[in-house]
Amino acid sequence: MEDPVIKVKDLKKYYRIHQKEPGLAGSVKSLFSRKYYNVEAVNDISFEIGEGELVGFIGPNGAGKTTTLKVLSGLLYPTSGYVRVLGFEPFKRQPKFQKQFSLVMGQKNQLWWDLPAWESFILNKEIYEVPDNQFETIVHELSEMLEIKDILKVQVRKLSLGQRMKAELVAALLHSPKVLFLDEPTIGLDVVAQKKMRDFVKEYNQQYKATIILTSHYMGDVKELCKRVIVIDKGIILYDGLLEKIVEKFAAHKVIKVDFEKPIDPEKLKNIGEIKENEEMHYLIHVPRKEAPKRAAKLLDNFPVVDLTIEEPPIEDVIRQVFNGGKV
Amino acid sequence: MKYYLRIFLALINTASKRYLEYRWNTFGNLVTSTLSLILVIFFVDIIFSQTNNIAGWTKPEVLFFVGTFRVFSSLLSFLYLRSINFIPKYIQRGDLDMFLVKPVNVQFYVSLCFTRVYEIINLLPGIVLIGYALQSLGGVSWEGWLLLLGGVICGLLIFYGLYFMCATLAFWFVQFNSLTSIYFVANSFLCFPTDVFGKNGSLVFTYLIPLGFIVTVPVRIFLAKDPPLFLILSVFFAALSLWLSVKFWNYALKHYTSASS
Ligand SMILES: Nc1ncnc2c1ncn2[C@@H]1O[C@H](COP(=O)(O)OP(=O)(O)O)[C@@H](O)[C@H]1O
Ligand SMILES: [Mg+2]
Repeated sequence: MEDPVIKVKDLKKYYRIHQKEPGLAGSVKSLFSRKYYNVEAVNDISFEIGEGELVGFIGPNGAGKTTTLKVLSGLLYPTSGYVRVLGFEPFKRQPKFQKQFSLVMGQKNQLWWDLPAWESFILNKEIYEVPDNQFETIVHELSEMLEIKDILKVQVRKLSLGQRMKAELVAALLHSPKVLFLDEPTIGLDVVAQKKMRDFVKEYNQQYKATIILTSHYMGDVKELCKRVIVIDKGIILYDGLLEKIVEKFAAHKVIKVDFEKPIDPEKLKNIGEIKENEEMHYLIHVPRKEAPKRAAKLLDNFPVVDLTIEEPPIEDVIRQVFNGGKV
Repeated sequence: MKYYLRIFLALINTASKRYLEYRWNTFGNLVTSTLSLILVIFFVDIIFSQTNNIAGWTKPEVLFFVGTFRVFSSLLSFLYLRSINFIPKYIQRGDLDMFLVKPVNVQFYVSLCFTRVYEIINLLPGIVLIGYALQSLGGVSWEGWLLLLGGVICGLLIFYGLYFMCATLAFWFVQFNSLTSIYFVANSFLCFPTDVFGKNGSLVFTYLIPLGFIVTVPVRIFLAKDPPLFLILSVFFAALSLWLSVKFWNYALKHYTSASS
């Protein structure tokens, strides 16, 4: 087997914070005796990502997603553990490594605010030493894909958030990085722009075979893009595997959707399962996973059923409940 | 080396576009700086109507000093002043991250990304004043000019290092908004020959905080008040200042990337 593009083993990243006591006296006191405590932002995680994979990294706010990407990008020195990206130790920040990856953060911009995006592209071209013809081809292709050709000469501060984000992406991709870290790239975007962004990431991944990690606190991004997801919360990986399997693993129940011929007494359905929705003759019932076929049969035998389906619960619900620490 | 020259040129190029909008502003600056220069000349005139020598400096010498100081100031504004003023903001807002992932020397990049191309025009009043002062000072050899040029370049490097280190402090002080005040204080020391601070003051500002090597010493060498060999000290202080700024920056980055604050 080939070496993985990204390899992380037993990675920990603790932020050391000193406790500030309120008031002037507290400030003076803390000058002399500082009390420190650790924020365990990433607490012992391991994973490997192969070439060309597009992996979703999801978790609620504060889960440790950004911290992980910062470690992978060489912006943070790991507290402990093993990290290799393309065979490099990221925190050494070797130019040879830096020329092969890109980091895009939804809340930070690399484009100069008071210049057209085009000027920032030119600077990146020099920094990454992109040859002229390659530069032109790439800008042309990407701005076509993202439909931003006509705004490249407009000052960045005059662009909408969606347009700016697209231009950010182009700036990050000029040097054809082999590895791309996208930290909440859809944050703050409207639904249409979100969709565009997702389509682009997917297309880019397929067309250029780039290895991509995309983080989000928001399931929608990941659901449409990534086969594989890593679910992280409180600095710990809760799940790493195929998106479609996550439901099986975490959902203890299935959903029976049933339509009846005529109104029935909800009380009688109590021993089938937990009624979640009830609109006249249409019911949504949660039943224990293994019991699902048996309960469905019971429904069919005892009630005037018109239509019945057994479904997995929506991924969003499953993930949300995983984050809330409860079983589904 | 060639790589960094290319980047420097690209930065100047983009910066020139950035200030296209502010072009008229720059001409406004030219007017104010010329006016303030006239004010200074007037002031010098008044002082020297009472005496013909201040701390060993004659009137044409002082005017020559003021002209050189102006040249130094506009070179500094042209090259790095504005860029360095922005550094604390990058640190506070976390934008520094977007520089740190790039395959370029970050200190170089953040020090020069806001060059002020049109500031070059402000060299004019200084040069005119130098020319005027020279009429009373008499002829100078080309070695003198070379020494002066070398001295001013060293001065720019010394000030760069000191000022950059001040900016680097922003890694530790989250609310660090006093950088420009530091500049103004430093400036008010730089705009007089250090001799006016008396013998002890002069020693402090020459060797302890080497502000004297930024403008005073180059001018003193040019006016043959100091031996040309003093330029070696200038070079030494320039190298030291630059070296310290690199060390301090790298130390700060280590602190930043380990997020131990
Ligand atoms: N620079 C920092 N200093 C101290 N604590 C931090 C810092 N950055 C993040 N944290 C803390 O680390 C944890 C993980 O943060 P982060 O990686 O940003 O999460 P996410 O990106 O998943 O929202 C949070 O508890 C956050 O408050
Ligand atoms: Mg985050």
